[in-house]
Amino acid sequence: MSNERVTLAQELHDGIAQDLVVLGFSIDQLISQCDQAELRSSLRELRFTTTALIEKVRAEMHQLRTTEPLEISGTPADWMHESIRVIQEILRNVQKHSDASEVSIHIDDNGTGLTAQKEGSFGFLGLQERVAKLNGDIHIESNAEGTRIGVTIPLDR
Amino acid sequence: MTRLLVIDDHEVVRQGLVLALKSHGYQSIEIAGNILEARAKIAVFNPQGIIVDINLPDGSGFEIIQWVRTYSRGSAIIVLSLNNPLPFAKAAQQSGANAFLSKSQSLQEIIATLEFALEHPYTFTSAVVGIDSDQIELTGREVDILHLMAKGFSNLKISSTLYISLSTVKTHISAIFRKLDATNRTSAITIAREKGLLL
Repeated sequence: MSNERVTLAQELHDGIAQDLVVLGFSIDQLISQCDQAELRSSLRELRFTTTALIEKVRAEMHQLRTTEPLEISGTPADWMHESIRVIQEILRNVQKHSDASEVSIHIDDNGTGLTAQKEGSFGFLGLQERVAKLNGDIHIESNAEGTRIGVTIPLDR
Repeated sequence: MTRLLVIDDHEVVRQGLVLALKSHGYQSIEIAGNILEARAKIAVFNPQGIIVDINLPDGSGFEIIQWVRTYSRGSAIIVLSLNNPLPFAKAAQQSGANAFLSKSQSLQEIIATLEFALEHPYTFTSAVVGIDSDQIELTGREVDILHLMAKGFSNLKISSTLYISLSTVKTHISAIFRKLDATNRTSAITIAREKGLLL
């Protein structure tokens, strides 16, 4: 959890705050080019709001960072987050460009097989429900050398 | 024609700054997104003015400033950051920057500060005037090392990245621990994040 918070704080920083900075710069440019006093005054107000928003995002980032004790990067939450992003991007490409009628996702691990021993637990039930809702199939194989999970989902075309 | 270099890992910010600088008459502008690129650009392009962010993907902006200052006192260096300015303004000054500005400041302020620094290269300007006695003050070099520690670098890797000896790295790390009241790397990084010294 703490790492997700750090990631979220960083994403806020990298994304929203920097975008707001540029928005502020654009308004500054407009102010310097504007020769109508009334409009210039409205633009100044807009700039003031933007600056306040940047400060707000900055304060929220700080709060996110300090709410819970933090871990150093390189811990499991990092690969988890990044892996989800990778899979999301691949699926997005399939949806956009492939013209496919179904998509399969296979995940193998070389662990002790415990991934699947929890079958029937809420996590797995939830998985099965989700896949069923998409009219898909889920297969789980597991032994002492690891677990293999395959999910196939039809795509509406 | 004044040569400028904008160092920031956010493309939108780089573009925004370049556009604004061009509309203020600066035509010779190069950009860099990290320290490695910045070093290469500085070596070839020899900028007279540099606008640099603190948080870069491969280290802290202070590393660049200190490197530039080893051979050029006369160039104008502006630190432009979203970090809480209080702990960083002094580090910026110590590492040899001419100004510390927040990215929330207006373009006009940023450009005016740059122009002032170009004309008066031995000055330091900062919008931060507040003094907080609880504030931890790290040097630019300590900020560099803290950034690399947070990336999980070993002492050896920090020493080879910053071209300083292992014993110097250890001295800086002891100073960081002492200033942050930390007992080990993990607690130092946690405290640094809480104090806004790291993102």
